[in-house]
Amino acid sequence: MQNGLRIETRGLTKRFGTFTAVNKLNLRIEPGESYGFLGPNGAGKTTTILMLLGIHKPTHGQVLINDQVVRSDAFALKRRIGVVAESQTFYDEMSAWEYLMFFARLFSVNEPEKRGQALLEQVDLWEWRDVLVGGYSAGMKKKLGFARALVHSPDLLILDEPVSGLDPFGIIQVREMLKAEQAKGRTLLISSHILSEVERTVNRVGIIANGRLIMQDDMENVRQKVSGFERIELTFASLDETAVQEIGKLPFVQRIDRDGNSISLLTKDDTDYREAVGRFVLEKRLILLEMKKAEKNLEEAFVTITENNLAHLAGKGKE
Amino acid sequence: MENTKAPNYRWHAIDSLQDRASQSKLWGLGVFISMTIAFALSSILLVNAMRYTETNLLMIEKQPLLISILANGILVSLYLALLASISVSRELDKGTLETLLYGPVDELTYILGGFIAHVKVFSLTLLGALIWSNLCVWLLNLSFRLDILGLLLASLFMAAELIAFGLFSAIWGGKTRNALINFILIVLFLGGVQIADFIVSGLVQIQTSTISDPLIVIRNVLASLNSTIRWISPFSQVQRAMQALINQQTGEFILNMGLMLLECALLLVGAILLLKKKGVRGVA
Amino acid sequence: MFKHKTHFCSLVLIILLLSLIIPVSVTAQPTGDLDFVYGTNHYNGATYSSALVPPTVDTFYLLADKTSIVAAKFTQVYYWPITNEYKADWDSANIIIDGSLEIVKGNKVIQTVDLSEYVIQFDGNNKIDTTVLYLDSDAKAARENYETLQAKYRDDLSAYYNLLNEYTAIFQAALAELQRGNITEDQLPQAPPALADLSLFSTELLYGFPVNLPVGEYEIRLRLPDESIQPDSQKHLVVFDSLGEGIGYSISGEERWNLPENTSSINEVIYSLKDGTYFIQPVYQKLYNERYYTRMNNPQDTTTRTDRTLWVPFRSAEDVNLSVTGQEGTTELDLQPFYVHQILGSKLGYNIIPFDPESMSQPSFTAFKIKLENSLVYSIKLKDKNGEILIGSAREVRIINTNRTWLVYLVSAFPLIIGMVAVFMRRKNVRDIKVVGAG
Repeated sequence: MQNGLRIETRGLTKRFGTFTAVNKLNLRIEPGESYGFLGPNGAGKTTTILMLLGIHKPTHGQVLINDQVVRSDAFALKRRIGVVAESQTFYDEMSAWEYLMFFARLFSVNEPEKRGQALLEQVDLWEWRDVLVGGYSAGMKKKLGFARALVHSPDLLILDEPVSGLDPFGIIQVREMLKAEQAKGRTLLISSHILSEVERTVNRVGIIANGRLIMQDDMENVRQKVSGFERIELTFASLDETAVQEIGKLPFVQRIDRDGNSISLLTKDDTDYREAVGRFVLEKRLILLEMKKAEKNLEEAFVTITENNLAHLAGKGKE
Repeated sequence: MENTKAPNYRWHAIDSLQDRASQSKLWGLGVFISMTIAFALSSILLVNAMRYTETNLLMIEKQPLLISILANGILVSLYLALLASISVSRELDKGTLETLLYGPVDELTYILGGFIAHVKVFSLTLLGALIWSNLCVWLLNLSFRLDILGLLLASLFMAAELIAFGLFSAIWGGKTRNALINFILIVLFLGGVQIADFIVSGLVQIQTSTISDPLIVIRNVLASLNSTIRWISPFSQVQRAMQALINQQTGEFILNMGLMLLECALLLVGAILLLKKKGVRGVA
Repeated sequence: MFKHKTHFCSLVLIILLLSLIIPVSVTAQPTGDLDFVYGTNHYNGATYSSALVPPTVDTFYLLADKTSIVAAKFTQVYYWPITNEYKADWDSANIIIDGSLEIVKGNKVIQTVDLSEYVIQFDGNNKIDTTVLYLDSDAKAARENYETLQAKYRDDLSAYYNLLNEYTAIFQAALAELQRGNITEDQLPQAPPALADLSLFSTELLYGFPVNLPVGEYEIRLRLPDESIQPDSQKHLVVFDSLGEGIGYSISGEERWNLPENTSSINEVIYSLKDGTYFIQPVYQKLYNERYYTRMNNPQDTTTRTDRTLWVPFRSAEDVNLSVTGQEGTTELDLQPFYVHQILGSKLGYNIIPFDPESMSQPSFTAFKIKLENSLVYSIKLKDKNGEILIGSAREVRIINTNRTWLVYLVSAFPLIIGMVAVFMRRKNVRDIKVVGAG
């Protein structure tokens, strides 16, 4: 079942004075798709999202949702969109229930009380529904923001850093909610730095840097694109900084990360470098407790793509 | 789960916004305190008129409640206009306006919703003023005339104009502090010139034997200034409307009501266009 | 913020400049030497008043169908900043200009008025009904008659003072006899009857152009004997009439009879005190356009408007009675003359008593006397001698309750009470707490 919305941007550009925040962005998100929108800080993600919502007017280009140009007065279209923004702001003088009912009314939700109760129970806020929102913790506000975004059962859900500020249990709740929305065929657009969460939820990824889309592909293909690298994790009995630096200087080591007496090495995957690592450890008479290969993940792919392979992948991966 | 029988989207959004905004104004003591202070001042003015009657044994008036109702209307409408300015500025500062714009709300809807909310609250205070004036009529055996309703209507138009100005100054100023400063400065200027003109003219008449040239120059400057700003000042417009009502000059009453309505409309349109131009992120 | 401050200051500056520039007069300004002016002695609906039309005024006003005098003069005009107007220094210069006054309508001279002599006279006891404007030979005769009466009055006054001196001497002697018990009080000599003042007032024999025009707008100019037009003499003249007539009242309380309040309109309500005694003097009044009438008397006025009207009393009403309706029914009152009797000695004050022609020279005033003691609301109306109610004479009189003023303050506190209830109800429905450790 697909009743989500299609999002398309054509040559989308936004300039603030001489600074170009978004440069000729061509996105395409199909109805029912879960799309991860990734990029470092200042890449242009939020600006793009604001243009999608009609808050910012593009300098050039177009935003089309279901083939309609998005404007601030496109009410019928905006009623089908739900937004969870990175920074949540609320009317502190209202209780959660009043706040939710206000938005339910704004979106002309049928049986708003029933819908509101179901959502607040889902995010474990039902017990606190009569507390003024000003007294909520950051996590509670985040969950309330979710409830607000979902109250009118939107066909397109735009989430900017959806799990930041949540405890592990809250993250699980949000993940399940998003999966449920996915199953209903909604279009999801998730912008996040917590890449492990995005990896579990999205099936397509777009990566933006310096205002340009440098890669847009299925999750599996993105993983494949970083198949030239793998990670080896080692745990020692004790480790000094000199040893870490020497290991980092090994020719096949792309990157080294230290966490106490453990290190994580990023190497190319043309061969198994565990043997070479083992020999070096013996040479240096280091006491190795554990060595293993780690699975590739999106975080590595992200770091790799934006810092190391930018020019190369810009030619390979961009649509 | 959308209610497909939802009415026109824009008017529905305006209705939702004004309902929320007007309710939140009535959840605190602010409006009620301002009404109490306004009624207290009105009472002082009315009782002074009664004292005049006691001293002079009689008083001839078409409408002794005129000044009281006018003072009441000015105080409460200034408070609500200030409130409108502050609430819009804070929504811009905090980002709650942006959240609204994610949904079926645009600049026009938001401004109109805020405007209607504050005018609605003022109308409730007018109801209070009507009850107050009726009680005074009964307590003091004053004459009740239907022109009290006209006076209250003129107050409503003045309040609408001031509230529209409050909204405009919030968008114009952006940050709460700037919006407040703009609002207070301009209101002080408009009202202050009138009051200063009145006082200095009176001084010039009283102190003719010791008058100094600078005072006369000041008097002339204030009189000239007042003659210009009386056409744009809501305080002058409402005074003239009320006087026209008392003197049964329908044309003059309609003219001044029309002026207030026109300025109100211009300010609202200005606020909407300015918000569209600046955007919520640009304003804040 | 700085940008907005700049915008605001610019706005204020623009308004200031506009305000100062716009009202600048575009008419002629006084030169400081001798200036041409018109002086009017105009009929104001009751009597005659005078006004100055300086060079800075281009329009002046007169009442229709009644002769008013317009005099063309040279004088020294100066600006009086305290009252913001131009004045004429007649003492230094008061030069009548000979010529003829042309009245123009639609670019056609419809009337040419020659210079005339005139005198205005009236009886001080009844200025309104006795004011007369005499022209030409009648003016001369009236002036001569006045001078004759004046001379006779001076003679009579002299004789009276002589009689009074004689009487004083005789009275002192009689008083001494009274004290000795030789005569009784009723044998004391009576003072000679007081000499009635010369109540006729008259102007000097003056020169001006008598103007009597119907309602309309005209141009006037002064044509000099050499056929040229006097510079600065062209003015716009608006001739107007009253818009209607009505009844007004001058009302005073017994303890404040010399500080009356006036009511002109039937919309006005008379608020008074319980058990108060009031004197009501009815007047006939006329309704005029506020600007026209005020500028007729003061051509330099800037405060009035053409869309407003003004009631002007012109004559006391006589041969009428007052119908007073209260809770207890209707009472008809007649006009009565009253005398203000000053209380001598340290007590001071006065009593207002009915006028007794035998013991009093003349009444202080004539009025209806009413005492408001039974009802809270009265209605008063004037009726003529046929019993017909005079239009515009109805007024409502209400007795205010000054004992309850403190309740007005109490009522003002109601919104605060309602607010506290609202806040209490709100607190019941929501919890204002800080949630810790949840979510």
